[in-house]
Formats: sequence, structure tokens, C-alpha cells
Amino acid sequence: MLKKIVSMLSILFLTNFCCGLVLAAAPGDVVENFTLNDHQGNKHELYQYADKDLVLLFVQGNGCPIVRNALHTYADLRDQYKGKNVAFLMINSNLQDDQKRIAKEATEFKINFPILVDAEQSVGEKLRFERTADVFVINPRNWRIEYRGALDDRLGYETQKFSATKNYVADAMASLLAGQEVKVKAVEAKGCLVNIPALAGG
Amino acid sequence: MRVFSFLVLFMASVSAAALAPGDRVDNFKLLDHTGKMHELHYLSDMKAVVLLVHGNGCPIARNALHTYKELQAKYQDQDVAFLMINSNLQDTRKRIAKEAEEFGNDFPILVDDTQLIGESLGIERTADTYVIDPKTWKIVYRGALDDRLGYETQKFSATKTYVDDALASMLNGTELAVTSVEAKGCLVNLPEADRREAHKKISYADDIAPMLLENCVACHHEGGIGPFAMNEYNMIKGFAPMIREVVRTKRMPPWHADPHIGEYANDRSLSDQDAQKLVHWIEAGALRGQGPDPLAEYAHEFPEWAMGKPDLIIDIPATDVPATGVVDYKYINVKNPLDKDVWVRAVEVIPGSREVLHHVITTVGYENPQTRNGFQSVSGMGGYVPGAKGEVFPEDTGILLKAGMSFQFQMHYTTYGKEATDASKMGLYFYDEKPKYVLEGRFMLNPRFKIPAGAKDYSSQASWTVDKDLELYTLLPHSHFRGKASDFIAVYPDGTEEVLLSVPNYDFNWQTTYHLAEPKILPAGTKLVHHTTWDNSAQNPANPDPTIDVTWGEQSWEEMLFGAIKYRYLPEDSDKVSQAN
Repeated sequence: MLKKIVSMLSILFLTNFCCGLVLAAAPGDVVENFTLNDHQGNKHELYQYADKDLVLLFVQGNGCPIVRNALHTYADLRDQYKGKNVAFLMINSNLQDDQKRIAKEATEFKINFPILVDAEQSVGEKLRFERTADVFVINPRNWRIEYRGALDDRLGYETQKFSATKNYVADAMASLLAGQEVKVKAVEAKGCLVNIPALAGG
Repeated sequence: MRVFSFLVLFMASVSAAALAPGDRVDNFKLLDHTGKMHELHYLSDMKAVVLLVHGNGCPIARNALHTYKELQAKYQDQDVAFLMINSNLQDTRKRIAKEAEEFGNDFPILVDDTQLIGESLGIERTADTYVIDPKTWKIVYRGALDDRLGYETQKFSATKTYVDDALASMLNGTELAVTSVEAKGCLVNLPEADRREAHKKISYADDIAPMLLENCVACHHEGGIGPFAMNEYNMIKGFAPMIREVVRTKRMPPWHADPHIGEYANDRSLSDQDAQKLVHWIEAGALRGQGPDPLAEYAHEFPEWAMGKPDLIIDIPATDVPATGVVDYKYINVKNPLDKDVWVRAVEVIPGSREVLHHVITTVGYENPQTRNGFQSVSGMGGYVPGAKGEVFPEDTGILLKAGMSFQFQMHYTTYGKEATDASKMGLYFYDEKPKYVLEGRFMLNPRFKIPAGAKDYSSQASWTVDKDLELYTLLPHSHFRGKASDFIAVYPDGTEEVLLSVPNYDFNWQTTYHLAEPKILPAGTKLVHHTTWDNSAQNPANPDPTIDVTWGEQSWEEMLFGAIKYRYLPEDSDKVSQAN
């Protein structure tokens, strides 16, 4: 009994007080349903995409060079899978971005994806967003995360390569749609930290 | 029951960041005691990173050195990185270097000048050792190296080898039984470590916003090269974790010289105090507090030309820049339209498209199809770096622009997610008559290097022996994607050496010319040596191809060893040289 209390308290202690130990929404975890409006006012319920083979969720944020430089790769992916029953979404949980500002950036940077406006940061908190340009590949059969991480290895902090050598999301999608195991399920995403005070213990 | 109360006590006494096994270590960059730069996340190709808390004058730390050396020897060639970190208030780089030499300590000792890293690691005592997993950046073990040492006590040998066990478990993929052991060592005084409540009182209106206005807004404004504008509190709050990260990893402000060496007129680094204040404010919740919002109130008209209307404006032919991808350096030649010789006293390049233009390096000379780049350089003529407001040449010095000359503009564009067309302009300001002194320019280059594929640290150098007494004004190290570090060292005629500039954190994105705060007298016979070190490995995220050897070339995927200096010769009757010595 004491051991149980100690371990429970330890977990409580570690998750509430320690800045580092955060149980990230990882491959295998189930994504709960949510409903948000996108930057153009259209309503999206995650589970409305139940008939899709895959749902992709790209964490967007205004003013992030890595997001901006990743846009065309995400668009290329969508073109590649046109007519293939895959949903490509974006979501913005930034404190500093609102619907108006997101719409402005979408126009300026020609972002032609629905960007769900997570004004309360409720989805960001649930899924434990850490950085923008993080991509969730979700399986609508069971709503589990099949891949979470960087689109590819092309971008870094103030660096770009001519082309990617590892296309993590593309590979994950190809494997899933072929009914195979995803080889690389998670890759540290590079992007701008998302400030979610509820997750920081604040 | 004892365990329960201990846990409660522990919870009550825990500092804001008491990093324990399982916690993640945030990235940071620090200079070591020799002035070399280290980045934690650069070590992602290692199997383990070991970080021992160092401190001068601590018997336990001194006695632990021997064990640390044995560990390093045992795990040689097994991709384990062994580092030390010193967060002591009382230990300066010089003192650390002195003790390191005295005790035969040749581990890199990271010098935590601001104590911010030590605070975030929850450092308590020296000789405490962190074993970190580079796959997750989580702490696998934290505590004593082993059980050999105590306060004024030592055993013949250790019976429990905690860190050795931790490393073995990591390399073998087995479970580690003991993940933490109370470390014995000298207490490290981190006065700000548990002062979160006090840090909540740091004022956004009076302390933070003015700091940002002074140091950041020059680039971080609407239409500036910064990707987001610091134009109100909410932007700062939203980007606060990122601001903390770029300060800890020395990405921002973009200044890359070793602060212990030299003084520069255009230094735009954050002082240690400012960095501490900013990061502490962020870690305490980035609170709005009372008072106005200076960022929201700031209404600045950035004048087109910082020095007023130029005497001559040269339009640089426009370049279309794609939305994303890597753009090669563009070399654009423009003929001097004047039909008489003039002396230039100042120059400014204003960017057409601030968002994409990352630097311009201007040279004057002659178009010459015989030469490699079709251009025969005679002298540098300034350039552009984000945030710069033009360059006035040192007093009474000027550069001769002859009637038949041409300008060559090396344009460096970085894409930002949106197409752009850049049409930049250069403004030149002339003397009415020939100035007292000629501002001399020289390029110190060495094209005869070959950087091996995969090399993390490959160096070469160029040197020049000063022909006549001179006073030196500016230094510009220049290399491309693989550039890692650069320096300029003066070897005086009497054999003494002085480092004039060290850039241990070279970033090709920032082609900074370093303006000496005081001109440096170099007597005739001084050998000026310029070193550059490149990183041609896969660990360099900017490296276009780590599998090939790399040689000299104009394009950014080739490399350069190229130091540009500006100086003037001292007249023969000048007494400046003897005064300098």
C-alpha cells in the first residue's frame, strides 16, 4: 500500500512539478474527438473524418520560418494523395495567433489548408503540442496516432537543405495505406515552441 | 511512513527545476574554458552524453577527475561524450583554465557565465554527474560518479560504480537499477535558482520591453527580416518559450564573437544581466504586470537612408526569389556610372525585400573575364547585414572609386515561405576632397584546402605579414554552409601573440563585419593569421552533402577561407606605434 502511495505521489510530483517529464501524445495513443472552427469559419469535427483512410494534422503557427518553409512540402503531399481519401488539416494553438491573424498569414503565404483555430488551446493541451511543424498521422479506424514528428529532414533552425533525404510522413503514409507497419513512428520535430501555460504548470 | 514524509519534504523543498532521471534537458550552447563552442543537441549522434559539474577548489571534484579520465578511456570510441560544466560565480574562464592546466584536466569545461544552464539543470553540488540519452535528451542517471569519495575522505577504490553502470546499461540496452545517488561535492551557489516569486516581479513595461526595443526590434518589426514582429505583449508571451530557447542556444541576438576577447563597436549581444533578466522573466511565466506596453506604443518610421540622401545611388538589378529552397549566392556586377574619380566616406545598402535578403558583400574592382569569377577585386566596399544601418568609414579615411571601376555585389538570399523580388540599392557618400588617409582593404584567403568528407573539425589558415605600420579597423571572417569557427591572431614582431577576434560560433547566415571598438595598431612585421574551421559532417544541419570532400568555390555549397580586413597605414612619423607597445 505504501509503495503504491509513494509511486502515485512520485508520478504526481513528477508530472506537476517537474518541467521536463511530460507524457507526450505518442504513437499508439488515441486522439479524442474535438470540434473547432477553421480560419475561414468552417466547423470541423475530428470524428467526421471517420470515413477517411488517414487524417493528417499539421501544427501551424504564424511567424515560424520552419512552418513557412514546410508549407510547400505539405501541399505536395496533398497533391500526391489527391483523390486518395486522406484528410490534410492544420491546427493553430498559439496564444498570439487569432482567427484574423491566421487568415492574414494564410492569404500572404498561400496556405490552402483548413487551419483549425484552437483558441482555448484545448487540443494543444490534450495532444501535448510542443512545436509547430509537428505532424500527426492519425488512423481513423481506431483514432490512434500512427506517426508523430517532423515532415522530413530538410529544415532546421535557420538552415535548409536542397532536398530532404528522409521523408518521414510520406513514408509513414505509404506504409499505412499499404497495410504495413510504420518503420519510423516518431521523429523529433523542429519548429517553434508552442506556449501552452496549462502544460507548463502555470 | 518515513518514505512518505521524505517524499513530502522533498516535494516541499524542490526547486523550480530539480532535474531528475526521466526529465528532459533543454538544448543550450556554451563556450568552454578554451573558447570552443559546444551545443548539447549537436551530440545527437552519440550514444550517451556525460556532464560532470565542475568547480575550482573543490577536493571532491579534483579527486573525481581521475575517475572521469578512466571512464573516458574505458568508453573510448564508443560514442560517449564526456563534458564538464562550471556554473560557479567565483570561477572565471581564466581561473578555470588555470586550474585545468594545473590538474591536467583536458575535458571541455563549459563555462556557464549566466548560470542559466546550471539553474535549469538544478545543479546543487560539484562532482554531480548527469548521464543523458541523446535519443530523448532525458536524464538516465544523476548523482555521484561512484562511492569512493566523501568530505575529506577517500576509499582505495569504489565499490559502486554508478556512472559506469549507467553507461553500460545504455550501450547494452539493459535496465538501469540505480538512477540517482546523492552527490557529494561542494555546494554551487546559484543565487537566482529558487527565486521564481521574485522573478515574477520583473517588469515587462520597465525591464523587458525596453530591452527588446533596444536589442531586437531593429529586425523584429513588420516588414523586417525577423519572421515575427515584436509589436505587442501578446507576441512576446506567445513566443516566450522560443525567446528563451534562442537565448540559451545563442541563436539570438545574432552576434557570434567570443565575448572574452576584444571589444567591438557593433556588438549586439545581450549582456549577461539582460539575458538572465529575460530568461528569468520568461521562466516565471512571462507576466504582463503593470504599466504601458512600450512595444505596442512604438511607432518608428525607419528612414529610407540612415545617413540622409546619398551622393550616388546604385540600383542592384532585381532578383526573383522562390518561396522555399536553397538559393545560391548571386554575383551581380554593376558599372560605376561616374566619369571621374571620387573618394567614398560612407556606404549603405538598403534591402528591397528585407524578408529574403540575408547579406550583401560589396567589392569594387574591374570586370575581367580572365579571372575566376569574372571580376578583379580591388577593395571591399561595405555591404549589408540585417539590422545594420550603413557604414561610415573611420575618421579621415576613404576608399577611392575610380571612373572605370565596377561594383560586384555578392547577394545571399534565404527563402522564407513566400516568393519575393528583391531590388536593393546601394547609397554612396563622398568626400568633397581627397581624405587624409586611404582606407585600405585586403582579402586574406587561402584556396588550397580540401575538407574531407564527414570531418567535424577541419582547419586551414591564411596569413599576411604587415608591410608597414598600420591601424586595423574591421575584420570579416567569411565562409559558407560548413563554416564552424574563425579567428584572427596577430603575431607581433617580438613573438607575442594576441587574438584579435574569435568567432567560435560561426554562422554563415550572419556575415558580420566586426568593427574594433578601438583601432588596433599592428607594427610592420606583424604576422596576421586567419584561421577557419569547417564542419563537413552530417551533424551540421546546414551541410548540403557530408559525403564529399569540399574545396574552394564561389557557391555556397563550396567553401572559402576568406578574411577581409580594413585598415590604414600610419605615416612614418606617427608616434602611435610606440604608444601601442
